[in-house]
Amino acid sequence: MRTPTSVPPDGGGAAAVVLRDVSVRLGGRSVLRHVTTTVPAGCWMTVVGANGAGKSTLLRAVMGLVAHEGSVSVHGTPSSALSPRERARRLALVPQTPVLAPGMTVGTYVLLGRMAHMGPFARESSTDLRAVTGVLQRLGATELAPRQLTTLSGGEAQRVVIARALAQHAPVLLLDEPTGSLDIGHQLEVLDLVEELRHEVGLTVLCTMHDLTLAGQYADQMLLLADGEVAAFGTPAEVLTEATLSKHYRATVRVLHDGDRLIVVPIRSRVGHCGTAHEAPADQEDT
Amino acid sequence: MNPTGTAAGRSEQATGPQRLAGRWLGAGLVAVAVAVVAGVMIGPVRLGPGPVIRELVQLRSGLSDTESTIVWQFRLPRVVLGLMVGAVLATGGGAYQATFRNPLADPYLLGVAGGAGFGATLVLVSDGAWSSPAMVPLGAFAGAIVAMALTYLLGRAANYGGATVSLVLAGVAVSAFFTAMQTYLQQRNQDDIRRVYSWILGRLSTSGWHDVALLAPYAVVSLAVLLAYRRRLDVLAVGDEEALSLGADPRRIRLVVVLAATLGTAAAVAVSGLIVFVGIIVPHLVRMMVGASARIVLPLSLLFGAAFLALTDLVARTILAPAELPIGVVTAFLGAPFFVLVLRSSHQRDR
Repeated sequence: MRTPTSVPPDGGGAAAVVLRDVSVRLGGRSVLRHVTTTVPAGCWMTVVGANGAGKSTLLRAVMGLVAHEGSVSVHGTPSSALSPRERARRLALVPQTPVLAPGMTVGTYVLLGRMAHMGPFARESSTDLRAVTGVLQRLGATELAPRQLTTLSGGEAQRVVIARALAQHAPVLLLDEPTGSLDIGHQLEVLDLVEELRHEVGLTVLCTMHDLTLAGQYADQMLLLADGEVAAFGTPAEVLTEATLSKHYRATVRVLHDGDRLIVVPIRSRVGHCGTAHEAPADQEDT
Repeated sequence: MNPTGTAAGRSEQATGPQRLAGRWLGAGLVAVAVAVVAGVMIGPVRLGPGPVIRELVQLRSGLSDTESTIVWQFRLPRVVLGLMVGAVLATGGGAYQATFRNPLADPYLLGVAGGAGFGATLVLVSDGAWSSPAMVPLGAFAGAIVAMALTYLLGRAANYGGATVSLVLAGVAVSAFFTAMQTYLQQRNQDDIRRVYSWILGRLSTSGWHDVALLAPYAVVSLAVLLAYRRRLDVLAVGDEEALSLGADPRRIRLVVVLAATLGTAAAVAVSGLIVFVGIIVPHLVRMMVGASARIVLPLSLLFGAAFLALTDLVARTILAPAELPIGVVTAFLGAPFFVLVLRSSHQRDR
């Protein structure tokens, strides 16, 4: 792996992404309201919140994919002053439900991550090819290169999408529900991979996640959104409290302590008829 | 990593994008060569393959002066026109399909040809400076652009039964409208009706090198732009939002590609009339062989499209000899069943 092409000039400790008073309206509905937060360079910040709280919208606003009020700046430059190409060199997004184009090979797909580095006709240079090879090697996905995207398993596909984002060599990685469709083994594998890469190449990570226990184990900082507003912010221990979570997820929640780790368990409040207790309601898929 | 080492080079070959394999490129070139030789050999006066090949590469061929004239003034221009029209229609079809992420996007189904036909007819029946033959492609282009825009807007607004189907339905409506207007124009101008009518059915003319010269600049510009943009087209396959997040400008890519494909198609329509389904058959067969990546599909569609149309024209002018079948009839005969196959497979994928 090579280091990103544009590391923050003032090194670690500086702000990678700053949101000031960011509001988004979608279809007449206010989805994000006056969100202000700072993601320090090298930090892993995870955004949590109930379905429809505005988590994905926050990432899309940072990526410049949705019109917003307020300001977003990336390494000190206002996002609105950046072209899509310049933005893609600074921010790489792993979408929640990536489009896996039928008939496209993994190699061609990962090369799309180099788009922002290529000339007007997108002719790949040897640097671009080396980036693709390096990323696939690092993710242990070299043998996937000739495969068609549509033949990949969920875990393989997620690795390939992350590979495309890493091929952008952007210093900030935005992950929208990176573990949404994965089993617990692959969830840990993907998150461990991001954590390793963060240290190897000095990535800043801004991530949305539903699984609060996992979120707490990987994040340096957490931001809880409720109805588009910042409801809580701080370290996982500060955000993941029974009172806060119960209030904003409208569910009874127990937070267990396993050493430093916090384990968040949803508790079923009503017992089903016939006296048989069913399983506690699981986290729902995001929409 | 060792950038100069052969091992690294090989692994980049293996992990990089899908490449145009030499054997497919070779197959395409062979197909074009076969189409040229067959197209020049076969006709009322039959010529041998050996002399034809020698004549074409300017060696002593042993052909008489008359035969040489047949080759250079009658058959070769027609074959070259067929190659150009086929290349433009097939590459344009492949480009429309990648742009709209729609396997049924074809110049004819999108109404582009109908609009081009109307524009060209308008020029043909008009008086004065406007009616010069050189104006026909421009009239066709203007009509094609208007029709293309209408189809796209209608298809987006309708959204009936999925994006694929609504785009095609919108194209059918737009085509019908422009065809109706064109028919009205043509019936009102009885003097030009024969000229217009033979043109509608689609034919590769026998007017020597004139039509070739008329089409060539448009074909070259259209094909050059489409080939230059073939790698950019791949990014559209992941949808506009992801394309934008990857640093591409999907709307600009789409605009450039649609303009280039429409320019080529309109010029081809202006010269050769309505030749249907080539833009679907050829790119679809190519995708079945090599996958859907536009960077590979477009150059192969160019070669196989060229060969396909030149050979189809050979069938059209020999099967009922001495009479000639309009080439549009032959491509429709082959293309209609093919269209049903594509519709079936794409319909299943839409669900």
